[in-house]
Amino acid sequence: MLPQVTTAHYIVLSALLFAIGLFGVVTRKNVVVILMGLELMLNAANLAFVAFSRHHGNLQGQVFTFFVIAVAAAEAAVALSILMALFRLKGSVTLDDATELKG
Amino acid sequence: MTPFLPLLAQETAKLEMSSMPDLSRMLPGGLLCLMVIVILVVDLVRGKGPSALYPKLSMGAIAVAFLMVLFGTVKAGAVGYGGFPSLDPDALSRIFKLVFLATGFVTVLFVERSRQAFGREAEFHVILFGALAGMCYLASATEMIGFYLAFETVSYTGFLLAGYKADDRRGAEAGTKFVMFGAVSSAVMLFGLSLVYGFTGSMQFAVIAEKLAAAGSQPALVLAAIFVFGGFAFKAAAFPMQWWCPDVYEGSPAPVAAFLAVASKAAVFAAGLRVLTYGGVSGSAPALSHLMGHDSSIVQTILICSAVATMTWGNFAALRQSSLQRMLAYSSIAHAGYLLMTASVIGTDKLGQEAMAGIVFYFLIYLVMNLGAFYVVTLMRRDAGTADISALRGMGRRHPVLAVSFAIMLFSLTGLPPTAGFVGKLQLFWPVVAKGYYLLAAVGLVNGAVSLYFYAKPLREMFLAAEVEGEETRLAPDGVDLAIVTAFAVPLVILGLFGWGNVTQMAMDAVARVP
Repeated sequence: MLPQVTTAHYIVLSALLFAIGLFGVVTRKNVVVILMGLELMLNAANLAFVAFSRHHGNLQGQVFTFFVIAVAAAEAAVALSILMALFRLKGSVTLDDATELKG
Repeated sequence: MTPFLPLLAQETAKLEMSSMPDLSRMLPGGLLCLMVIVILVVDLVRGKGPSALYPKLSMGAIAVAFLMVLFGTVKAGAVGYGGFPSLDPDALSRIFKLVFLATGFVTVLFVERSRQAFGREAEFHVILFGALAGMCYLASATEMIGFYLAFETVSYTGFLLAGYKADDRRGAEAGTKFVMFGAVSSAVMLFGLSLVYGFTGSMQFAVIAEKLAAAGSQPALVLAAIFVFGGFAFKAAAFPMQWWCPDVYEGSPAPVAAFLAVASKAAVFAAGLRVLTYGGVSGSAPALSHLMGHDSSIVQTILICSAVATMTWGNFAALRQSSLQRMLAYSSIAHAGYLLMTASVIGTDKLGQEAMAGIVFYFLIYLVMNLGAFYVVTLMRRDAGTADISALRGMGRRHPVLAVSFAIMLFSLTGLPPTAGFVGKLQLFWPVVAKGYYLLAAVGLVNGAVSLYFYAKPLREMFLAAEVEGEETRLAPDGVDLAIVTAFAVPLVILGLFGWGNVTQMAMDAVARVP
């Protein structure tokens, strides 16, 4: 028989997802790949919200998840439009090329 | 665990039972949201091309919203659907809304005066109204969903404003850095919020505060506190999330930098003050500060560490700047440090309340002096095409009104008497000293002394440095410019000399909630 899946399992999975996402964000230079890592981080939080929501027996966590999905879509739109501008001007989307402002 | 469907039926029933919330109390925010649509429609109807209509429309609408907030009656108590109160338009949010709206008004004015072709002008105003609406909701959010949505609204509109000049390499770079830092820190904060929800099973700050006070200290809660603070620190430009700030302020147009430096920072501090003292300043539960016992709570430890690092980093990095716009960015980081220092003594006692009032009071002054200083940057970039401090050389002789007004703003930013900045700094430091955190206050004072050095740089250029023949300052302020600059400088002196008692009282009233 399979062991029962508890809230703790979901939270461990969510923490792993978050860690993978954060690792990608910190180590990668390509902005598009960083955005992928970000999606992982947001979805890790979503998973945690849904798991906790079931654990506590109220729907607030699930409701939050819908809003987070909408915000993630907005984030992709805003980030990609700014990236388009950067790409048009510099011909690349890596952070190494974005070094004009410093000091 | 409860099965899903009965739960859904139960929640739906609750929603059907509840009466329509009193949305009239959210009117100023609603007006700002409406303006987003109005400007979009106007843009659609009249087609492309620059127009003098948008700034007038924006300034009019912001002025109306400002008056609605100013003269509207404050009735505390949260508004929301189905037994889920989410926004509380109380006295604290009122005073911050006034700060946001005043900053928004001034930003539109600055854009007008900068005579820069912004391109796609209607969209700029749409984004600005979105930002203002988000800020107004952020200042009154009393639960996590509303808080998160308002927080992200302020963030994303900020990214768009910073990268607004998309045909400018520096603008695009500023936008990219801003959006990367912002999205990561908000994702981290969201994960922290999910942990808080996991511990408490509630979205309401009031319930969370109660549950946390009962739970005591736990490692996962420490992690959650650090994660949530990460999001706040990003928006406040505080250590360890301050890296974006100088680049973004330098790369964005000067009016946008002014907007971000004042309104955006005020918005996150408004939310932070509410979270810190949830349950009423004079009420019982000092919310999250119970995490590690009352005396050295984890939240307090985080705030103090961040405050020391933020102000030291900001002030010392500002020393070697030659661009005024970048220097003001570091100065705004340093100011976030001073504010965090005072935030660390917020509590339920009288002193804690004074600390909170001190922060509110400081924002009222910070608004005037920082916007004034950014107007000088706007003028420099308009006339001289650069924000380099050397462009100010010889101003004292050529444009004495502008130079003296700017000097007053710099004195005020440093915190020297007889300006309002001195009174503000006094109110920031007093609760810290009275609480007995002498070392923390001493670090703050040393930082203040360091800041004297870099704020004096523009003064030296304006009044002391000899002009080189043929390289006279290119700044050519007209009558309106001088009137604007004077309008920013005069209140600083008046407030500094007398009359600050009233404003202090205003700040005290704002934080004094009925228990």
